Amino acid sequence: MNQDERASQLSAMFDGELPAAECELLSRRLARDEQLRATWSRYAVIGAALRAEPMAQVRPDFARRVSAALASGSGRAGVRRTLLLRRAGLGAAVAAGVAGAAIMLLRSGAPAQQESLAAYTPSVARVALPAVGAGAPAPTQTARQIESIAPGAMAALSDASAGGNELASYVVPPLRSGNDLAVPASLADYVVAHSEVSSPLARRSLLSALVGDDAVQPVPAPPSQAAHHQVARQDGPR
Amino acid sequence: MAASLAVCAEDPRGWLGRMERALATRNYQGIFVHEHDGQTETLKIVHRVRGSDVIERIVSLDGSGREVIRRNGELTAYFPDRRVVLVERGPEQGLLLTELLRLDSTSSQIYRIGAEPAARVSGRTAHVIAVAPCDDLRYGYRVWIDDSSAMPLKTQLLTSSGHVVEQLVFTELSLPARIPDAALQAAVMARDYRWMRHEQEPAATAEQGAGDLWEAGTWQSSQLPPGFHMTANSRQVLAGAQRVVTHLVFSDGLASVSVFVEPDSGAPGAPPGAARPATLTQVGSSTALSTVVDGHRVTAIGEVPPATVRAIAGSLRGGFSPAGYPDAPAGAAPGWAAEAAAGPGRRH
Repeated sequence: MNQDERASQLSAMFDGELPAAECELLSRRLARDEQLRATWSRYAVIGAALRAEPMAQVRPDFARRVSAALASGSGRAGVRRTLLLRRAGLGAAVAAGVAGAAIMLLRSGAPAQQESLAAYTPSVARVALPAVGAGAPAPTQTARQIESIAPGAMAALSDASAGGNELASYVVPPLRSGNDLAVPASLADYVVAHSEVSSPLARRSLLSALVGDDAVQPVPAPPSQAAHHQVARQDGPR
Repeated sequence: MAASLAVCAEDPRGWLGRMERALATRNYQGIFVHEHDGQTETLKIVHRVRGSDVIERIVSLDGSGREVIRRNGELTAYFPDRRVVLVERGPEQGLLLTELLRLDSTSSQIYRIGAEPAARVSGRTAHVIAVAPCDDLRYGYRVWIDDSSAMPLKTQLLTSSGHVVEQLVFTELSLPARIPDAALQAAVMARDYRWMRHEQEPAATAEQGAGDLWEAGTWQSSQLPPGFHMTANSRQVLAGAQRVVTHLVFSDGLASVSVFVEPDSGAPGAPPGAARPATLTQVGSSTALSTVVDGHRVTAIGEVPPATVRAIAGSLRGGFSPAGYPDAPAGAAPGWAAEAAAGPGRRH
């Protein structure tokens, strides 16, 4: 089951439209999956806001249809998404991935959705969402995620504003592809790169180790501040 | 059945070839146990082949939720415990020679391939093929190959003295005709995670780190352990580092060792290029070594004993030629352009 399907299941459950057997499976999944629980709390708050206001319910296959709309929009949609969020000035609303998708559908001209979404969005904007969890990334970091994630994962927007803060910016920071002197690559990067050139038996062993071994953990790179680094590097000895 | 058992005694290479083809062309899924160094992990694997489109997914069943998905040369690794996803694209396919076990006439001098008595694994008849190294610079294998499907039901990695270093055993294995897309999608909800993938196409120009490239052939292959030779040389961007590295691959036909070379960033507080002790890490049965050579960070990793990784990394010392560096060879830079154009939201 992919992310979109699980998101629709959660939505459906809140709308009372999920079959009992699936509810049971989903709740067992919730017990095991911290990420899903975080999403659950966001949905719970949105659901409460929705029920308090007269407006359209979120349909179970909503997330999937959003993905399809985004996929057909391809490259341009992403750039448009970046600009839209700044103009709309939505802070807490964007924290609900569903709402973020609503904005995009509105603009990309899916008329069947516009009426319900126009009503939906402002209400959610008034919701103060609880902090999603420790280590919510900085706004520029989130912006980078938006640019790089495939259409189906547009709900990374949900990172944006733990605690209901207005987003500072969605401008993608200018990343340099080389010579960021402050960041050592992690062992996991090398393991992954090497696995591609290993024999099939060795690859399976390497990937098993990567997946199972606690010692091999990727070290996330901090946001790049590389403009001046690159200049410095070129001045250095060759 | 009896006939194939008899054939096995004369045709261990044939069975290895059949196994190789099965791994490359069949759909399969199952659960296997990975044992190494006294530790045991249980993992699920799903592997689907549709023409030239190969997707493989390996998931930890031990609660970490980690998984990797390989899809046509791109590998996505999910680390729920770190809330990080790594997306790596391998080097250009044209430079790779390692999809197959290249046990040719050269490597027959360093590996002896033979058959051992057939055995049963999980209720199935298996041919036991042993690949024994001639020295202690590399590992050997013992593989239990399923008589009907040619799949490796059990695989052991051995030292030259026969000590078992690692073992993978399937406890469940099936070869379905069809595998649905859903079985190959990540179970992890990675929305809140840090996705680390290359953002920008590396310009293969002299301006960008040209002085950091290692030119193929300028270094001393005579210092390599016997049987090893360079099989690939490319530039790559590792997702986590956002930095171009040179990726050299050495192989003896069975084992392979990657050597990554990049500018040295220096230890915190120390000047770049200052001598630092090499560090060795075990990654399952593979050994990884990290050291600094001539102002460059060198990381070597391979499924060989530690001494061999050290020897291969050390062999670079003789050949570094920093001056007069040419542009990257054509085709060496990974093809990010097509991917970036297809992806959402690329800024222009």
